[in-house]
Amino acid sequence: MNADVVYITQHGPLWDWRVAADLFLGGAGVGALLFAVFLDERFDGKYRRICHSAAILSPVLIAAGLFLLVLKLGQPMNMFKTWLNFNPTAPLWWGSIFQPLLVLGAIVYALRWHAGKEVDSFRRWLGRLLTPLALIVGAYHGLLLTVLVSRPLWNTGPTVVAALLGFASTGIAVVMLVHLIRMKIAGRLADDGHVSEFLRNMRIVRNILFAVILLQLGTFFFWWLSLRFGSLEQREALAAANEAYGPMFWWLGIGLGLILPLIVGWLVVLRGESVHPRLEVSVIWVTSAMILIGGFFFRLAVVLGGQVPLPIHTPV
Amino acid sequence: MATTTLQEHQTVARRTTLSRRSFLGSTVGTGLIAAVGGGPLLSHFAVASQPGRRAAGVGKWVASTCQGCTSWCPVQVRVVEGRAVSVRGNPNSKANHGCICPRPHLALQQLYDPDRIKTPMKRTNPKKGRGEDPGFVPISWDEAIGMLADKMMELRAKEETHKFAYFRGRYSYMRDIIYSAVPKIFGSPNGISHSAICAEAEKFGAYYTEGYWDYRDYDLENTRYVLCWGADPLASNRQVPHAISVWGKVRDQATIAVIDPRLSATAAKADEWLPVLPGEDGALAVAMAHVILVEGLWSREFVGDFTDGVNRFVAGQTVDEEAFQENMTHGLVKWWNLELKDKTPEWAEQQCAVPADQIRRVAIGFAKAAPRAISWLSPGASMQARGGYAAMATHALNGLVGSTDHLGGVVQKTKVPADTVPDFAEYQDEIAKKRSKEHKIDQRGTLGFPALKSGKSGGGVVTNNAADGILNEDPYDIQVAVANWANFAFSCSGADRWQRALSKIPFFVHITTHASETSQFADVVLPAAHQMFEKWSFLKNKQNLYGYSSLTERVVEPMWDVRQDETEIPWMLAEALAERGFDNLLRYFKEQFADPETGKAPTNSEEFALYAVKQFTRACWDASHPDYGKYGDKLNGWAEFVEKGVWNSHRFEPGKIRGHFKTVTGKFEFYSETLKQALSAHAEKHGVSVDEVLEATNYTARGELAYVPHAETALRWGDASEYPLIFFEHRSRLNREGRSANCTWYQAHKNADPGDENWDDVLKMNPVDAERLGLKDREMVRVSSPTGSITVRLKLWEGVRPGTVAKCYGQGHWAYGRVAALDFQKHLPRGGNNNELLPAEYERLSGSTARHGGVTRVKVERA
Amino acid sequence: MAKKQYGMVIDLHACVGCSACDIACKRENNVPHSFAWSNHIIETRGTFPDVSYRYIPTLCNHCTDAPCVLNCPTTAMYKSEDGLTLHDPDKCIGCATCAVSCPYGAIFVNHEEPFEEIRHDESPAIAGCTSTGAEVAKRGGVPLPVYNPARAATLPGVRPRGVPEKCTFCDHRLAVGELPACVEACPAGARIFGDLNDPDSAPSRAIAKYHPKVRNPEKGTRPNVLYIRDY
Repeated sequence: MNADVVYITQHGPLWDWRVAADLFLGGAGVGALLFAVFLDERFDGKYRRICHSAAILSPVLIAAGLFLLVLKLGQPMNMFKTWLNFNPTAPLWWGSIFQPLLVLGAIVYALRWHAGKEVDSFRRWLGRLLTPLALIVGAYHGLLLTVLVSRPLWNTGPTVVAALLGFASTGIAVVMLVHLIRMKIAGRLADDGHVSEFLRNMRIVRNILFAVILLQLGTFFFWWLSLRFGSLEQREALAAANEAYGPMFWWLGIGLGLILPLIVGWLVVLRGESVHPRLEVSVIWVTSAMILIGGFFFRLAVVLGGQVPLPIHTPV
Repeated sequence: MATTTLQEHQTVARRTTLSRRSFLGSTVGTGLIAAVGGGPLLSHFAVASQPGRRAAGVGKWVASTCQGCTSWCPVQVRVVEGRAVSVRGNPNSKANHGCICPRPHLALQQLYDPDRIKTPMKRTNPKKGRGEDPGFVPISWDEAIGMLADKMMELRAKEETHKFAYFRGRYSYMRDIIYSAVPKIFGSPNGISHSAICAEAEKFGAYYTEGYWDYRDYDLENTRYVLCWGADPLASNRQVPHAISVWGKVRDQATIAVIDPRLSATAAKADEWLPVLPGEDGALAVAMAHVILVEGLWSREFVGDFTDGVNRFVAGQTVDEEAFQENMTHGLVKWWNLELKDKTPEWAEQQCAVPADQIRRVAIGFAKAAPRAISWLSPGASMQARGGYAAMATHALNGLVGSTDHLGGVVQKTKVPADTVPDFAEYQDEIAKKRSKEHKIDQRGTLGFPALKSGKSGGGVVTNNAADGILNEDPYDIQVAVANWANFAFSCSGADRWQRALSKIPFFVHITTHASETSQFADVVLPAAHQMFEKWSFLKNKQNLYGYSSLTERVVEPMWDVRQDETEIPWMLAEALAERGFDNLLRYFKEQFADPETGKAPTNSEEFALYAVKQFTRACWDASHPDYGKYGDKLNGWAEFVEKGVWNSHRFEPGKIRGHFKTVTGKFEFYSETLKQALSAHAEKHGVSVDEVLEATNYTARGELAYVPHAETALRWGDASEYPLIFFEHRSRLNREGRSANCTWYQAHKNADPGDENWDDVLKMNPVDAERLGLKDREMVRVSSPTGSITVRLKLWEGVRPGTVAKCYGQGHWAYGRVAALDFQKHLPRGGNNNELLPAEYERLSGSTARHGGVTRVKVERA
Repeated sequence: MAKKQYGMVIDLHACVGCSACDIACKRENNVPHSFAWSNHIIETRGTFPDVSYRYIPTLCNHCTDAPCVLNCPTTAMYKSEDGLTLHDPDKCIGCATCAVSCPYGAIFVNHEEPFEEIRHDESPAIAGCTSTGAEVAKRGGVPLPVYNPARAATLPGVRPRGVPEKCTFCDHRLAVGELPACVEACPAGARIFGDLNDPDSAPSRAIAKYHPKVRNPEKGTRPNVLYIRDY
């Protein structure tokens, strides 16, 4: 039967690109920190420069995300009131505690790297301490959306997984990209040993990235499945978001941000040892950029898409 | 437990007006509620009740009356520190019993509208016309009234006082001071009321069947069937809040059928929707009458029966008049033989597009529920070019089933005692006596405009034709005119004629709250007090079988330099005329008006305004008045009337008028001897036959058919090939008679009218037509009739009949204010005014403007 | 005495869709015209001539398990002792999580200064002859041309930019023993207000008599605005 339902609520999304940017930057910052910790553990301080890049990027990115979020607040001067009022049921409240804490920890961590010691047990210990905190903040960025029963697009388990995985890929990508720029400015590809050895050693990172991307694709597929074949409301939410932000999600978020880097990376792997290090560096450069651009637009599509007005179901 | 007192609360409320929260902290103190206590309203949620304490903290409720529509509901206004802050129904009123519709709330935004005129103003651009900026500049009241008095004195000097006209729009019952006494003492016949653009054709139906020239009341409480003919009582006239409040109960007890080409607010809450083709209500009504007779469902008690009890009403067969013995009615068999016998539902379906089985079902249901049944006639089914007979036919159904003047049926009114202007004959000088007998400018009573109000040729006004009278200087040229509470340049169909006519009048004064369309043609604009908050007057009306007299009070002191239109301004004019040597009017005011309590004569305009109201309403509150207490409440003095705000009549008791109708025969006339007499007199006056009168008034019937309710094919302007769609308009539940479009609350809630959109003025079209025309939802379209065109947004909606398009009245203002108009400075309208599409067509027998019945066809094109 | 839970039952059979509730709410609470604390859903179904129309009044459901309260990072959005869902602008950081959390679209955020266009209106329609929003407000000694000072008892009379606002069940009126403005304004008597924890209250009796429905029950919010019968 033909039905025309009108329900006029507030126009436009309540959460705009700044929220997406916070999710993106915060995720990348968390990823960068974990990346530094990982490299430190794995190579025992060998790749000091890249760890240094990662460690410095981490608090900068997380803080930048926070800053954008504060810009978005209606009453930013009231920020401190969050710490005076306890609401443990609100992810945002936890986030407002843990995210600044993480920024503080990451700053100290970055300073320790800056100090330049090859082996620093305090740094190592701090890194281990910050790891669960970073994971919590990473999960928080997903949880923030997941708990909203009002938004069926977000209100699913995969949202959290996607957020956790998202920080891994964007974290690695942002570190690689910035580190390469930094080295380029410094005039060298890598100063931590020979470039081909660096690249060889970084293959574990590449493999992690592959795994993360594959897991992300799997998560998205599962997410899509659960919505596409979920409740009426979930199907409507998916359709509504798809209609408004589908191209952004599929082409930029999935295509550019995940599938293309995967293909390019895989092609390099297939070529094996015959790939010139210069080309391999270019590939890292390009795929990192793709992952970052895709990562941002993926979040933007999800943030905005989740707020598209849904068909109204009347109470009778 | 908190011990905050009410007094503290009040102080805090005052201190915190400028947006600081400081009072209750994090919880709304339950303690506070307990401490303050609840009024009677709260008693059902178990708060310790301490009546009386509530009022102290929240200002004072002052009585007044809402004139947002003609329900004229008694209301109360909450005044806090001299400002009106809210409105509610007056609980002392038995008519609306404390209920109000959305309209009174909107009035607050009218009161404090920044676009209200603050001061008298005069025109500096001598060129008049739509699109011309009048170049208004502020002037003093003395200068403004002086200018008018000078022009009026010029007419007196030339002994051409009849060339003065007063145009009355909405009014209170103080109306006759400015409408009747002023022109007639000055010497003009031209008190021209708006009545004929309102609903006179509706009264025609009741008058020429049961001799009652007025609106009916409806016993909704006890009814078992409601048949609405275009009536939308949940949204508009004439007892909106009462109808709303009782509708749930009506739905429980009765069947509701709504005849309307649009799914109206009431149709949405009905059991049956009969989407009639606009203007074909008459066919539907006679077919229902046919069914009722054929099925033998007429009222034996009211109408009578065949002498042998055998029903001879068989489709297509003539009946012998002698075989039927009528009781309280007249001419049933004549009606059958002349009109009804062939008017089967199948025939009607071809005419009015309502399925025959639905016609049959509704007619039978209605008749079986009778006499507790209501056939509710409205302007929609009567203010049509050939609507006079449709009005009779729809009302005749009440006669047929005996539901008129019956419990649960349609009733007349109780008397509401009130006085009007004292006799002024002795204040009319020779000029006045002579000139006030001139023909009126609206050409009433001419061959083509019988305007048979209460049976008299030229008895009623032909409002909309006054524009043509002015333009054609027929019977003469109007030199000076005053319009009050009227916006004919917007509200009359063929609005462009009024724009030209008003431009033509050499000196035109407009009394208004807002710079409306009509003001744009004025030489002087006088700012009026708002009727609900700033003015002393009273209204009479009825709802829920109670008549009432309700005061409008000066609830707050006006913010601007405004005057009360119907009392203060005439007084000031009288003073100015006296200064210029003509003191008859001022003498009349001073000698014939006095404070009934003190006997004191008025010395200034405000005293005059107040004394006049007291004088006119004495029967309600003054024990020395002969009518005091005779018809209802006995109010103990003026002070109690002011405090209560309303006088209630006794409840109307149906059944006393049956058999004593004020028709020629004293019966309910199916064959209207009353109309026969009126038409014959009019024909005789012009030396023509009744058939020629019918021809001159656009009716197709000839001969005896003229005297019975019958179906007439709708008259429509425009050729169907060029103008494929029938245009019809409807009312808004938020319209304060076309004056609320400048309120943001009106615009922001406009979609409360089914099918409409907020902040817009959409043309509603069935998707089937849109597809055929290649038009899309929400695109801008140009709507053109043979006489005009407007550009509005298209809305596709299933609630309109294919082949017709509908638009609400009330928007399309190109002046009035900065919300009503899209751009006030550039005269750009928000939406489009229907009256620029509708031609100036008439239901001529009553003089009414035919704004309904799909009077014009239109074409709709992408803009 | 058992704890109160204020609630409202809306009788759709009685409701005629007149919008008096919406307008009265705007007036009572000084709500900007771009929002509607008291709002409605409109539904036209079917194909001509078998068409039905429904008007369903909506407002904050004052949910027992209110997502806006659960997700507010500062407890600015909170449940009162009477079961109202209320907002304290002083604690609010303006993150809009409450509004995003609400499954009913009942919370509105002031992205701009409310009534900006009228409070800063300084160019009259006709110079010298008509007024402006700013002038009318100033002469009235109030923030807005049409203004209800009573609202300021428990909330800023006009909410500042940056914070959300929503229906409070007219907590300021309840505090002085009056019914919510929409209830008082309803000419159909379709809004039945009272303590749902009191089995003898009018709304409890209505709930007992009819089969009440709530909006989006699957959200698990336990709304305290319930609907009975059909439009």
